[in-house]
Parts: sequence; C-alpha cells; structure tokens
Amino acid sequence: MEKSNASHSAASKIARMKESLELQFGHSDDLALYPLRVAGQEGLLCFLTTMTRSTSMMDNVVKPLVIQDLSGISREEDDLMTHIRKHVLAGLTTQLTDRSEGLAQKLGLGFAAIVLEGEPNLLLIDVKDLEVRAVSEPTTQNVVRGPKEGFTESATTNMSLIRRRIINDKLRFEKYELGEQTRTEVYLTYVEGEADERMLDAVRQRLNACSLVSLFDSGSLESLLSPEGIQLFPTVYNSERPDAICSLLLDQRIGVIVSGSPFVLITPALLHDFFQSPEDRYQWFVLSHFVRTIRYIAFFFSICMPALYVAITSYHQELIPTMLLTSIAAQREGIPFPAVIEIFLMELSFELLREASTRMPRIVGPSIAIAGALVLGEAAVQAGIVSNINVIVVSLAAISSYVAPIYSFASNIRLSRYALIVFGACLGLYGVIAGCAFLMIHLSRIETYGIPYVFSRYQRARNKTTC
Amino acid sequence: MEALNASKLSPIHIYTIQLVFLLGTSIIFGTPKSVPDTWLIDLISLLPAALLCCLYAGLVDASHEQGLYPLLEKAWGRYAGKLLTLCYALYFLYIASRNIRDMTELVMTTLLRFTPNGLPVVMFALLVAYAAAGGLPAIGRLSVMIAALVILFFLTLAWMLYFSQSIDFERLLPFLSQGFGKVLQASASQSIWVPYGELIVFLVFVPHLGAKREYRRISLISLVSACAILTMSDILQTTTLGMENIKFSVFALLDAARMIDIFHFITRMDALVALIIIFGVLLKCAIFLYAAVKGASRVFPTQAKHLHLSFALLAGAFSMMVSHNGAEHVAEGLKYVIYGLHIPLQFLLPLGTLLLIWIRYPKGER
Repeated sequence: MEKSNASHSAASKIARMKESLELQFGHSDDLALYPLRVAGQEGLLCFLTTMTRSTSMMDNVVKPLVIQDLSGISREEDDLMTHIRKHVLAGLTTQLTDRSEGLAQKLGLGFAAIVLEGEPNLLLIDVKDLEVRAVSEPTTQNVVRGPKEGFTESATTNMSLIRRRIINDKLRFEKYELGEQTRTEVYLTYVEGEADERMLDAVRQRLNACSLVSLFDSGSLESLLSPEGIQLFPTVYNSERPDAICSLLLDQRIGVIVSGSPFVLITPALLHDFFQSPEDRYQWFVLSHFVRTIRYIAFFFSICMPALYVAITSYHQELIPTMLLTSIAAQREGIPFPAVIEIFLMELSFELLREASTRMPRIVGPSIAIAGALVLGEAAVQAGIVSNINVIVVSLAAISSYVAPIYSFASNIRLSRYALIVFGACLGLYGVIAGCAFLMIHLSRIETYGIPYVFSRYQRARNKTTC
Repeated sequence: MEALNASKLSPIHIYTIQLVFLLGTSIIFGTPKSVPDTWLIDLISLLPAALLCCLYAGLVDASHEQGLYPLLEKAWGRYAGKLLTLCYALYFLYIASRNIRDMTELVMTTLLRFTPNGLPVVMFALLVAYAAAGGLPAIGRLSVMIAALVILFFLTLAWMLYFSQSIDFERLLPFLSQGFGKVLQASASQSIWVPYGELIVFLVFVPHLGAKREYRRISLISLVSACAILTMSDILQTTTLGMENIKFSVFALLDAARMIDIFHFITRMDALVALIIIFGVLLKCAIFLYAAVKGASRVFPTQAKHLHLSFALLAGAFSMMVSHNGAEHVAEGLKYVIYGLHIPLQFLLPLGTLLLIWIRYPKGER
C-alpha cells in the first residue's frame, strides 16, 4: 500500500513536471521531453533542442545512462542520482537539486534535466553545445603585423582567447546575468592583484544595479560603466582584439565580456588608449612614436580643420599667405554660399555617404562609391556649388577622423566638429579657440572611478611594462 | 595602482599651474616700459620675488596647512578675519576681471574687430566657470596642456622671428643708459607685484599643495622658469622692435609677432599670440575664480558649487565696466591697482598677519 502510494506520487511527479514545463514553454517546438528508463526506474529527460546538439546529447548523456547496468549497484552510501553523477556522468557539469522552480531557466541556459520516479532530487546536466562562429580576423582595428585572431560572439571562446594569452592563475572571470528579458551572460574579467579592489567593487556594484531589459551587445553596457554626466569622449574602451584587451588587463584595467558581442570592454579607459594600436608594441619604437604623433595630429585635424577653414576664410583672411589667399578667392568666386553653408553642405553629404556605405547591402557598394566620389565631389565643384578647397578640407577632416584606431572614438569626436564649425562661424578664430579650450577643460575634468582621463598614472605603468 | 588622492595636487601640476599663472598675461604685455632695459628688470625682479615667496612660505608654515582664509581668522579674530577674507575674495575677483579685460582688449584688436565685446566676454566667463567648477585637480591637468601649448607657441614665435631675420641683438644697446637705480626702482615698484605677487592666491590652496618644504621648492623652480621665459620674451620684444617702439606698444609680443615674415609666405602670426593670451588668461582666471569662490563660500553660508557661474559672470561684467577704454585700463593697472591693491594685499597684510600670528601664538602654542 505504502509502496504503491509512493510510486503513484512519483508517477504523478513526472507527469506534473511534464505538464508544468509544457505550460511554461507553451508547447514550444524546441522543448524535448523524452521518457527514459534508468536502473529499472521510469524517468523523464528534458532539455531544449535549440541549446544543444543531438549527437553530443546522445554521446555524453543518454548512451552512458542507458548502456551501463545500474540495477545492481549498492545503494548504501549514495542514492541513485549521486551515483549517476559520480560514476556515469563524471566530468560533466552537473547539479543536484530538489526544487523544480528554477528549472525552466536552467533549461534555457542549456541544461538538461533528469527526473526519476523514485528519486526526490532532480539531476541537472550542462549539455550546452551551440553553433559558434569560428575565430576569424577582426573587422576593426586591423594590424599589418600582429595576431590576427579576433573575439567572436561566444563568451566562452572569448574567455579562452584571453586565458590562453595570460597563463596566470590570477586571471579571474566573474559571471553576471544582465537584462531582465534576455538574461545575457556577462563576465567581469581582471587580473587579481593588478586591478584596484575599490574600482572592482564599483564596477560590480554597477553591474548588479543594471536595470536593462535587453542586452545584445557590449555597446549597451558602456553608458552603465561610464561616469555620470555627459562625456564627449568615450570613457570605455572596446576592442575585438584579444592582444589589445590582454595588455590592458595586465595594465591594471577591468574587462567586461558580454555574451553575443565580439567587442570586449575595458574600463577605465584613458585618452591615451584611444591613440594606441596594438601594433605599436610590435614594431620599432621610433616608428610607433611617430605614428602616434600622426594620430594626435589627425585628431586635431578632424576636430578643427573645417572650423578653422570657416573662421579663417570668413574673418581672418590676413592670416592666409597672399598667394594662397588669391587662389582660394579665385576658387570661391562663383560660389553662391558663405563658407559655413558650403562646409555644412559638404559635411552633411559626407555623413550621408558614410551612413549609406555602412548600412547598405554589400552588393550595391560600387554604386555608392560612384555617386559619392563623382557626383558629390567633382560634379558639385564643377557645378559651382562648393569650392575645391572646401572638398579638400572636408575630406582631410574625414580621413583624419578615421585614423583613430578605435572606431567609437572617431565617431564620438565627429560631433564636436560641428559645434566648432558653428563657433567658428559666429566668432571666428576666437570661437574656435574657445571651443578647443572647452574641449580641453572637458578632457581635464573627466574622471572614471577617480582615475583622470588625461595625464593619468596608468601611462607610466604602461611604459614600464613595455620597457 | 594607488588610487589618486583627490585633493592633493601632484608636484608636476603645481609646477605647471604656477608657471602658466606667472606667464599668463605678462608674456604678452611684457614688463612695464619705464626703463629701456626691460629685460633686466625682469631678471632682477627674481630676487625680491623669491623673498616674497619666502614670506608666503612663512604663512604656509604658520597656517598649518589650512590655507589663507582660516589663517586670517586665526590672526585677526573671527569678524575681522571674515571681513578680510571677503576683501581677498573680491580682490581675486577683481584681478580676474582685469585679466579678462586684458584678454578682450587683445582679442578685440587682433581677431574680432567688429564684434560687440559682450559676446566673447560672456563666452569666456562661461569657460572660466566650467574650468573652476572642475576643482583643483582638473585645473592642474588643464594647466599641463596649457603650459605645453603656451611654451610651444612662444618658441614657434621666437623661431619664426629668427628665421624672418627680424631679430637684431644690437637693439639691446645702449645697456643701462639710465643707470642701475632706475632698473631697481621699476622692479620694486611694478614687476614684483605683477605677476609674482599674485602668487598669493596659492595660499588659499595650501591644503591641496602638499608639504610646505616641497611646495617652497616647486614654487622657486616655477618662479625661476617663469622668470627665464619672461626675460626671453622681453629680449625677443626688444630685439625685434627696438627700445623706442616698445615703449609705445601695449601688446609688445603681438607687435613683435607682426614682424614675422618668412619668404612673404608666413606672415601675420597674430593668432598665435591670441592663443597664448586666451589660454593663459583662462587658467589664471580659473584659479582666481576658484579662490574667490572658496573665500565667499567661507564667509556666506552657501555651497561653493552654486557660486562659480555667478562669480564668473560677475567677473566678466566687471571686466567691461571697470574702465572706459584700453588706455584707462592700462594706466589703472600700472599705477592705482599696484599702490591701492597689490602692495597692501600682497605684502602689507600678509606681513601683518604673519607678525600677528607670531605675537598672538608664541612658538609652543602654534
């Protein structure tokens, strides 16, 4: 009587679980609920087919369970589940739990669950096996010389790419789940002893306080990790390159890996970092310094060039050497617009071109190039809408802005350029200087976790390590 | 990496702040032209300036790293001390407004000849407020950038003048045509008060400056380097313009820069001079504003952060109302301000305070 009662309740337990799962997942097609017989007991195996592969499921879980004869084992010391865990599925990540509440979430994370008739506990097995993109060359931050591996969308792969570069037992990965709806895995990574403890706590706090609904790319986390207020310059570094990330991790920084994003974040980032390409460390140091100087000059060009053009041609013609002035004046003779309008026209069309060439389907690429180069450039000049010198100035600024090794830096500073053009148009050189002064004050005021953005002590540490 | 102590400035920042502070306007205006050998005045002023610096170092010592305002209250009592604090705050604000005026005068003559001067002044005041509100560490970092720019532009000017063959060292002669006494007199009556005496504003920041011995060392180094650069600037001006021209020139470095002519291609480098003064004055004003706000927030029960913007706009407005025209402004600066404000507030009052402290608090009690 007692036994039949127990078996009745267990049978109904399996049925109940089946029912509750079907209710929770709403008969979703990828929910697999397979009956199973282990050691003479009825059971249920449940998992999501979309989170694993049937071959690995068969090889790792089902075959060992079914093939091994478990009926004769001694049940003295361990119950059946513990025995399976220790002897049959040893080596897999398994959990024993007597609660069925979090089961749906566990299935979503790539676990398979086994329920047995006579056993009070659930056995959870990590069978996650997903299709991932192979490690390939990064699409941003290209180098001529240096490693060609880039991060992928899989956080596990990314962690492995970092781990194999820093063979150090002090390297840590801490797991977080962010996004109410998406439950995206986020890993905090740092080298213990290098990263500042208080800063780590601050980052942990911010991650815990995250109230995002969804998280698909590390870009959404940047504002969470940035200091409060509006910054015109990015304060979080991102890179697709494991070597860049690793060198920064060893430089006392903290990394954040977001599952699903090939861009790994580093905080705190300093202005200096955005002018540094990983390649700088792989080539002759004189060349690196030269290239870095070029980058700073390009930064100045990309921010100030159009504004200086507007200010000087409309307010301070005397600053231009006479020969050049006559040539500029001759070119601008037939142009109906003042310099500001002219510059804004060209800047706007360049922005359109840039946006179009980023978003368009690859296959229509050449047509944009033709329209951009020929129609907007040459034809506009010939039609007398803009002057040649204007086209030169705008393209120089545009090219300069892409010299910055980190794309997000280039796109952020692009906005300041427009403000400076307005200043230059209203107040001439004084306006441009005031605008630059504002940017300088702004730069000197930014602090991330108490670390100043410019002239910080990190740079000295970095230099020491490169020596 | 040790976390930065937010309130203490690093020695490099103290040095650059003081350097830019001293160069600020003086690098453009040069030394008062009462004697032909202006560069000698600058060189000689170093000695009294160093003595003044020692007086301030004594005050630093007496204030037990608390700064000027608490020290005034300690020496003069609560009410008189508060009154003097207010005096100093106003004084700093006034110098800031004079500096803004210097800058606008130059900008108006070089860059913006037809713009009503309200607009640039308001814009500048906003910038100063933004810089001062960032706090001392931010000002320190800003000063590194500005120091680099100012020195770079100054050296560029010097090289360009050299290459355009405008420099003639014979223009430095005759040497000491009016005797040594006149030089000394000019140095004592003018040069040590502006810019060196203005270093008194740093007494306000003593709590942020670190140990007094180190502070004294850094101040002396920045004093010497500023003196060297100012002397160079004076020599540059005299050798390009000549002693007669320089006497009538208000913006001596600007007039010198206008002599630049390299192959008729690079000419009129006014913009570089404007850059030097705009950046220099920006930092100087930010420091004065920060000090003034600190004083005012001590006297009146308000938080300092609410005062930056209003004080900056006040300084901007002052700068427009303080005198009717440029000539009046310069004359005031050379005469009335020095005797009426600089000497009492930079020398007499600090000296009195130091004596009072020594009398009121004998050695053991301090």
